[in-house]
Amino acid sequence: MTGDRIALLDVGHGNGTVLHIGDQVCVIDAGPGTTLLEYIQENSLPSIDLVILSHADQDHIGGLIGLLVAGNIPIKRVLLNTNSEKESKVWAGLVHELSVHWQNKGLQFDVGLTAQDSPITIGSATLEILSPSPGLAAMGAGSLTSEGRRITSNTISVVIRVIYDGQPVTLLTGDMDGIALDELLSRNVPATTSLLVFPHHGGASGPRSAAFATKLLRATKPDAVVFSVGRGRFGNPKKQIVEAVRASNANIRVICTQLNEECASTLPKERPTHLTSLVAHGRERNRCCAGTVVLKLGQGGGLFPRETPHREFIRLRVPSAMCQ
Amino acid sequence: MVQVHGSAIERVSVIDDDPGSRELYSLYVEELSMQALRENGPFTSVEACVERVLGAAHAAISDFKLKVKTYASFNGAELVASLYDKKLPSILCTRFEFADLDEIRPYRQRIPALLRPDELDVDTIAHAFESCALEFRNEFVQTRKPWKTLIRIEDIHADPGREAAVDVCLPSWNRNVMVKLQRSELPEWMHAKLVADAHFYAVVNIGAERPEDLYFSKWSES
Repeated sequence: MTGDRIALLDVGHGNGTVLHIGDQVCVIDAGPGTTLLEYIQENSLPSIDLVILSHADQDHIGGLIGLLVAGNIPIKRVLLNTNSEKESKVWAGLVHELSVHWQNKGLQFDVGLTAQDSPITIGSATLEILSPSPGLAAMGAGSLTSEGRRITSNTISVVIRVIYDGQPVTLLTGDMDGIALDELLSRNVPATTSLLVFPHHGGASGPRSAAFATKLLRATKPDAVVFSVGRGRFGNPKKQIVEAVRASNANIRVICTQLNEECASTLPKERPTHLTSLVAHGRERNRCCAGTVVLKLGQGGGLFPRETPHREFIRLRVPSAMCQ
Repeated sequence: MVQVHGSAIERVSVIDDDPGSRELYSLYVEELSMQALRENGPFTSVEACVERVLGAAHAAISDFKLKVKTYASFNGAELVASLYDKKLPSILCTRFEFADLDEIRPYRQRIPALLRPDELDVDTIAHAFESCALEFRNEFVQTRKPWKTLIRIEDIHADPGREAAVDVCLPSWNRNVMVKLQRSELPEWMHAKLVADAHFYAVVNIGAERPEDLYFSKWSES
């Protein structure tokens, strides 16, 4: 696949997004495992201009350690939010490796990314940093809001809206939670988008998760929602979230990278034919639903895998699909 | 019949000290329209066994614990690794316990397929033989592909009467799983540098899903 595009990689449970805009390459979040490494190898990318890590969870950063250590692709700059509250071992590993590259290989890395740093330019595209606000980031994980709600590393996860040809094409939400959403809405920040990557892999639980999804969908008004999930990990996306997403818009396209067990208790025997040809974590064991998802930008663009063959796969192979 | 890149696997040696298991594995093999060669042993050396298998079969399935009842003088990990060196597709099948991993790990890079008996079926046998054949052509399935990665020493075990060992964490793989490695598996230059929080690099198949599937090679300083 060529041309300007956004690849939402099937990394299993986690997020990994690659933006190709002109000759610029930007990675936003780097889920663990080898999918990102394989994607870069497969696409013969000569270098990565920018890596942005939304927050410090392993399912968003593990792949960058692999990328740095593999050492076969130069990375020019890394922007990351600090928070080692939950992930000290992975965080320590990443900081170690970033320091080695900073000292020996001229890597530029900046710590602390907030809405104040917006916008960032990648070729002809613009990345708007919608959240966290500097104030929210400054409070830090572990503290309480004025309403007594606990701020976690998810609260200060970076939320990025990609603007292409003047249009908001994708909203990458990391693990954004209800506090961050409320704070963002209180600032009247425009957050509409055509494609929403749902926060926290659709894994928010508890009585308010459906309300969170409804509020988010009302603010973002997407045509399609992607859940980046790993089969067998946490049972994501949760049913009440998918229901809230579908209730927000009867025509919305719901896309999961891998098959949720509730949708299909057993894996299809047959090799799927609807997937893109790109690397996908779930491909080898037939765990993919949509696998790696690509949004082609500009003329002749669109979302891949295409909706009709994907729906046909779901109809034939996913007996209890939540999205149907 | 299983075809591996154009060549049919017609005969499969089944190596297990337990006649019941030997029979069960043989039935799976026969279900794939291949002939099962039930190896009754005894084998006095791994070389002799390799020679016997190479002369008779196109592939092999071996149990790990072979030293019971003087069936063999070696374990299945040694055998499968030796068959790998001879480019013969082989599966190590075992109801292993974690203690067995200490013996399996040094050979793990040369054991493409480690399956528990309950995982063994027509599909997994065919897939395992295909994975072996790929590796012989220097191609790897996702779970076996080697990548240079960061290793962090988490803990050192130096219990009296037991071989020294270290717990390591692979941050780009799974932070929650510590992998125990015997000191003897590590290069000698590392031994004096084994302290908690030290970082090293190694080549590891970080696409693997289970800790028992990881292999480590080419250690270097970070």
